[in-house]
Amino acid sequence: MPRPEIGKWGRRFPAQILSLVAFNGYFWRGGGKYLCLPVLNCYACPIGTVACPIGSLTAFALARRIPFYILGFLGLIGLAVGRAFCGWTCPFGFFQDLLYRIRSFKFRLPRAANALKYALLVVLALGLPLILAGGKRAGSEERITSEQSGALDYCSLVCPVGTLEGGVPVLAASAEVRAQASWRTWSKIGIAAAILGLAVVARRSFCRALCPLGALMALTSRVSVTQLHTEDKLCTRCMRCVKVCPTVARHLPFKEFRTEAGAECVLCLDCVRNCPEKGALSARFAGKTISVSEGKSRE
Amino acid sequence: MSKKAWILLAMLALLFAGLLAYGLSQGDAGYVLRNAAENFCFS
Repeated sequence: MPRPEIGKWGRRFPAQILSLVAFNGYFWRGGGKYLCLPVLNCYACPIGTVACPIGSLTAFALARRIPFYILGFLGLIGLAVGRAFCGWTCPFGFFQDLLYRIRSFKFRLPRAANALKYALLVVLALGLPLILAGGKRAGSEERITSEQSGALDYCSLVCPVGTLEGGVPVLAASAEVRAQASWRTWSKIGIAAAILGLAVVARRSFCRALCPLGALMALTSRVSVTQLHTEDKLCTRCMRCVKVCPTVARHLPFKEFRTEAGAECVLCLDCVRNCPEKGALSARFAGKTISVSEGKSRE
Repeated sequence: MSKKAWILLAMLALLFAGLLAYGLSQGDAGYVLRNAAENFCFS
């Protein structure tokens, strides 16, 4: 497997900064929490501006409501831009990108790890809440809290974003809350610390293996109208695109890999920016080129 | 993209648009907001 590289960040860095501010802009939060944008940003955080799709899906499962709105909205976004939100706007994706810049031993998670996020989506984000809240439901409008169902869901057990944005600030601010903290609280902090540590050594490891939202968006990103395209005649098989791909999504553009990147591609376009051959690699929206390699990255 | 792929894509887009419209008519967005508000820390 090629050695991982960081590569050029390009316009993605300012886009991520702006998104971080936009999704955590306390002063304009208002009714933004109607929106379930495909970014992992805890809505329990006082400064959060939009609703978390995973938290909302779990809430729907707890109430035994079918989340038509969330599935339709995220499906349309996925068809249009695939997982571009993961690459360009997700605050936790940005945080992982920053952590990976820390000098340390680096490695890549095996491709098999990608499957874990689908299991987390089906079991912890949807399945267990759906099953455990069954006996407590009085009507579809009644909101069943996670605690009432035993708090055995993704947000309560795993989500590092909830821990960082919702849990840790509350613990830090209130001695009363700290006194009430259970083993669950500390285990979640431990999980968050482990995920952050893994992000330092394995690039976008959380997105690849543990993000149920990434799993959901991956279902439509394969058929999205925004795709990568390689000009076979110009590609020299230098492997630079494979080395800089943060999610190990990029395949070599050989005939046997007709999908250029597939479900794991977050459309960060690091491969396009870092391609040393002018015009060899491009990103296309509905067949029209929106970004093309300029060949400025020769080493 | 081939014609078949475009047709599949259009059908999927229609399906998702239908889900979205139905969800909105059922008050799903309000439920999302309510859930977010009730999960609010420091409240």
